[in-house]
Amino acid sequence: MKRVVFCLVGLLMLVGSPVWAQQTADQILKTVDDRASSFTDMKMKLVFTTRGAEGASKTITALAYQKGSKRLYHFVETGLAFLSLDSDNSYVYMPEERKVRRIAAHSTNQTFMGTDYNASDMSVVRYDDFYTPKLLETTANDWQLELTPKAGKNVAYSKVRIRIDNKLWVITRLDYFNKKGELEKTELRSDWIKAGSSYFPRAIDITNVKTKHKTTASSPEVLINTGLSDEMFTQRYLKRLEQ
Amino acid sequence: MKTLYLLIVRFRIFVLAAIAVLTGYFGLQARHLQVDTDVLNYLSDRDPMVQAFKASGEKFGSNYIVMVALEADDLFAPAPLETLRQVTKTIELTKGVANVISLTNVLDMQKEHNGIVAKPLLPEGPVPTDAAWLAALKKKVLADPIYRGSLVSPDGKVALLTVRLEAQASKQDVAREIKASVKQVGGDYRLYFGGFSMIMEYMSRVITTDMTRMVPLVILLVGLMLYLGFGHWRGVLLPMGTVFLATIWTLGLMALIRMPLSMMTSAVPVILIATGTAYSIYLVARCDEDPSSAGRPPAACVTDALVFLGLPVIFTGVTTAIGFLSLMSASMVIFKQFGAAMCLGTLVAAGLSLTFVPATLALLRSAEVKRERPRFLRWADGLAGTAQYVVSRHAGLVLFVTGLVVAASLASLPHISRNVNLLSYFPPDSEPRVSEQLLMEKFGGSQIFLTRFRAESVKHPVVLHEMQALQRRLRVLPHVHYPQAGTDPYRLVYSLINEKPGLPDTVGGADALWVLLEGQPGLDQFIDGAVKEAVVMARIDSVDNAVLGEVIDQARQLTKDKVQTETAYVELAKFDSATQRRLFDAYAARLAENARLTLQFYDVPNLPSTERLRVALIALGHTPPALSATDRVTLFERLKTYFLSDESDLVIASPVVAASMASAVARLETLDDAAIREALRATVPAKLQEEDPKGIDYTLESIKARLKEISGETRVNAALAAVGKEAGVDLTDPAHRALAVDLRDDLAAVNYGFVMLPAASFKALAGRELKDKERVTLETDLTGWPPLSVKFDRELMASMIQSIVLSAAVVFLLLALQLRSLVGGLMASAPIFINQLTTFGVMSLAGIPLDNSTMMITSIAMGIGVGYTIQLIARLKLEMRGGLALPEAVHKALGTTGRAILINSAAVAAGFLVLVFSEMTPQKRFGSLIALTMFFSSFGALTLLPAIFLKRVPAFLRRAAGDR
Repeated sequence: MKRVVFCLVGLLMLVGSPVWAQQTADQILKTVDDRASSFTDMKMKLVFTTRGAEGASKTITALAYQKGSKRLYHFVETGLAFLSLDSDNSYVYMPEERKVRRIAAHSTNQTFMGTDYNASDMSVVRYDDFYTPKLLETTANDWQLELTPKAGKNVAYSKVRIRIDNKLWVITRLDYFNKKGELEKTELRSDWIKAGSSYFPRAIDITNVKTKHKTTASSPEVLINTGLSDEMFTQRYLKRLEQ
Repeated sequence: MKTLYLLIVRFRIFVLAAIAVLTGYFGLQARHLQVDTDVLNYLSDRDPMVQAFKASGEKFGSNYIVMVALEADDLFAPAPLETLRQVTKTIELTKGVANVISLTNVLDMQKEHNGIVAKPLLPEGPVPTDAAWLAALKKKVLADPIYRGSLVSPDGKVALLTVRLEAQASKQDVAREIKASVKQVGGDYRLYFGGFSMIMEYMSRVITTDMTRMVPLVILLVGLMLYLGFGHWRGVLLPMGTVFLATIWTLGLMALIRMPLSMMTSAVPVILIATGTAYSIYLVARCDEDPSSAGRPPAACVTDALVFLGLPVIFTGVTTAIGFLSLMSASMVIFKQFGAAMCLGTLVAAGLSLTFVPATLALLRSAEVKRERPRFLRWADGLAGTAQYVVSRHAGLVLFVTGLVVAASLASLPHISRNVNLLSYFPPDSEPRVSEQLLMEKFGGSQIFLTRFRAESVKHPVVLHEMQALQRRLRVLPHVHYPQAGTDPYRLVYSLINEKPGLPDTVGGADALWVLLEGQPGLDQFIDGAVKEAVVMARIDSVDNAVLGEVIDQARQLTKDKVQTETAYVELAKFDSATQRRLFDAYAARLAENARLTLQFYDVPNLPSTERLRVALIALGHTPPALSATDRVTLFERLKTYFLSDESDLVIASPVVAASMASAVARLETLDDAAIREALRATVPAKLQEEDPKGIDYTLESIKARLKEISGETRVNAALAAVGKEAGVDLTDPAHRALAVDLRDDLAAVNYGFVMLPAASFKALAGRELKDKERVTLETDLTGWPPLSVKFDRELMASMIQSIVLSAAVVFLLLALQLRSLVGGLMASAPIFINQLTTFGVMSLAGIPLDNSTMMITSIAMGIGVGYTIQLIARLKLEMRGGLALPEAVHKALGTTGRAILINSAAVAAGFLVLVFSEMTPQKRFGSLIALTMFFSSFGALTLLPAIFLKRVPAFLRRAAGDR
């Protein structure tokens, strides 16, 4: 989920300049990461639609809140709520039992809520914390970087190829390669809107090329810097979300 | 026809050129032949059971599972665990592998710090060498039913890796790669490989080795025998050349009609040697023994031979081809394909015998053949002479002995066994059998059957409970082990999150858990992504079809009788107290049955009846009891902990305040909303109430949840004690811990707010009709390889009888038509039918079971028998037209055509006997049965058939005598 939030984080628009074409891979990735965390808090409505190879589809609606590294997701259909304080402290609220339980998963491959995101996607906030970039290609409109995991970083991929729009400074495409070096899934981000000084993709399409399973994430509305209180990001607050 | 034969001989160069061009064309086409090694494609898509098998295999990946086992003296030591980790990683990195689960990468879900944590059972980095840690790991793993029997054998010596292959991957290639890489990494330990893909990989490897090693030997031996029979190379090269050309044409035709080269159709060239050489042999032999051939132009001799043999060859070819077509009645696609390919091959071979062979013979400078062959080349003459002697002197004895053989064969028929199980194709010490033996002994086998549940939503509590009940029922069946279902992770997460046994009884609860579970590794093996289908899987510890059949029948009956397909799912609180009581009492029967199954599984000696258990459970009452003093102490402790936790609805920092609040609630005589709210208002600091006015209402809800939890625990404990008392088992004794855990799961339903009853019984209990929204329907069926194997096994006999009857009818009708006599047709068919019967008799006595390969033998035997019969009758007619009386005609026919028959049968039999040294049992059976068939066929044609005619001269022979 962190990844969804991250990818929806807007980047300040920078008018394309030839200077940027000369940027090194490290500088490009750092700038993308810096601009991705340029707000105090954020809330949005997320609608996930998953579709299996046999065509069965399902929609999940979630209200997402973020402040710093803390995130809160309230799943509208089930009343279930997730609170993530950091990578080691996550909580789930089970409405039937009125109980909050700490949950922790150590597998980077574990998928999230039946979507095509996995735990590794969720834990990456800044790409330059986890990956070393290499500039593969520069075109008039974008750069292509190849990211390889840094030593000791537990991620699910052997490499990720990303395409960065050199005007908006946003990632428009990600190709994820599994540990065998095979392309596993492709993520496309599009329909960018501006909120404050940031750009957000209103549509994200992920396709698992192996299973043909697809996830579409759309965010019709994004609000930033609305002054969310710290109280929201507590276990206690989880139980009040359903009311 | 004669004109046609003349044209073939006259334009022999053109005929051979045309054959060469067509051979080149078919050869080019044959390059496009697709090889299909996927055994799933061998099954007919029209069969509903096959459809279900393929669909469930695709959906749940059960068709793509291979198993790798690593055996060590003690698995729980650093070295074997490290090797296991390396093996797991190696398999993970193999292309075509979707995922692999082993002890070293499985996620262990545990309760930890007020929640659950899923982390690898083995920590990252080097395996700890601390003996205490390893001992603790062993104890934990062997005590947990999630790991014991699934990932580790109960004795702690064998680790199992379950590997799921990608759907689009080439299963055999991936299996081969896994085997090679695992042997490299884990070579220091005993390794075993199981699962369908592994068996197929082994089978194709052995077949390839056998074929490359033995087929040239078969060809050499057949060639040698032909040489020994004819004494010249033409007699070798023309029959073998015909088969060679026929093979190229057949493969080309197969490519043109997009028929793949499968495990079965790849045998077409070899089988053509058995069936296709005969036509050429008759022609060559006829040219050899034609007394008028000396000094005549070769073309004239060949034309004469064609005139004499043309029609019989065409007739034989068509009859044999129709015989092979009878395989179209088989249930497996590969046999249908084999039948069709052999039908084509036979027609092509017959056609080439009438074109390629005469054209080549006519081209030769001289048809003269050395008449006096060395003694060692005269074995066929000797045998033919023996036949002449026996038939002329002891025709009655031949018929009498045949009668005895027929009687003995008929008597032994009921004892013939059947076996279509793939594993029985290998010797006991072969890799697949050894692996299967280990999997049977340590993990309950690799024969997995699935009970498929289909419903609007399989995560509905009713479906979850039905699946769990079926698991309970399956595990007490003999030979059935480790039934697993999607309910297992549900139950685990439910118990960890909610700290109580059971499964969710509300739709909301089940939905919320699904959100947590969805996408977890391995779950898609049990529940499909659309949540419309789920399976309960179980293993059978035998490959014996009799055992498989027994288990599948029981499982099918059990599913039919016991799984509720229409369930009334109603909330108790919506009924008056009396109705609640009736509904609960009825539901108690279900709980009692589940509890009894659990007691049975744990071999409790004094197994109480379901009714006794039901009465004991009913005695608990249908409403929660009042809290006892002990319960109130528990309530106090839990509330105090809750008030001080981050989860508390009110921010209480002081332990004193928390204790005061908890105490005020726990002491309440009546624990209703008003009283609890009042107690909280009296104890919660005023400032806090002012800051958070809704805090008390939220706290009230949390307290009610804990009250329900405690009364639920008390009620389950009471139910457990009642069941323990009836069974005479102290369930508080640690020795019965596993039994108590399972019983808690069964009895958790005493707290359910909903009951799940047969829909048909609802009206009588509730006094009203069931509403649509209260009705939950589901469908079930049984699938997997064992049910299919049982079906094939049972259909085999019917299929074979059908095939034999069809072939026999065709043979009889065509012979009757050719001989223009029904009685004649029957007399001529008799040796062929007796040959079939005797082959089955020998199989019964030798303990050779009926299997799919015997179906091939039936068709081949029929084709060969017809050929011999037709050729011999043609010769008899010729000789009788020439003025000989029947005994002399028989004598002449046996010495000429009989000799050709002997050469053919001896050559083919000797060649195919080489297959007895194959590693594959079906190859051995195939080789020996072909040899046997050749013997019986030639015996039937050279002794029985003439003996019958000598005893009663048929009309067609009398007519032939009249034609002179």
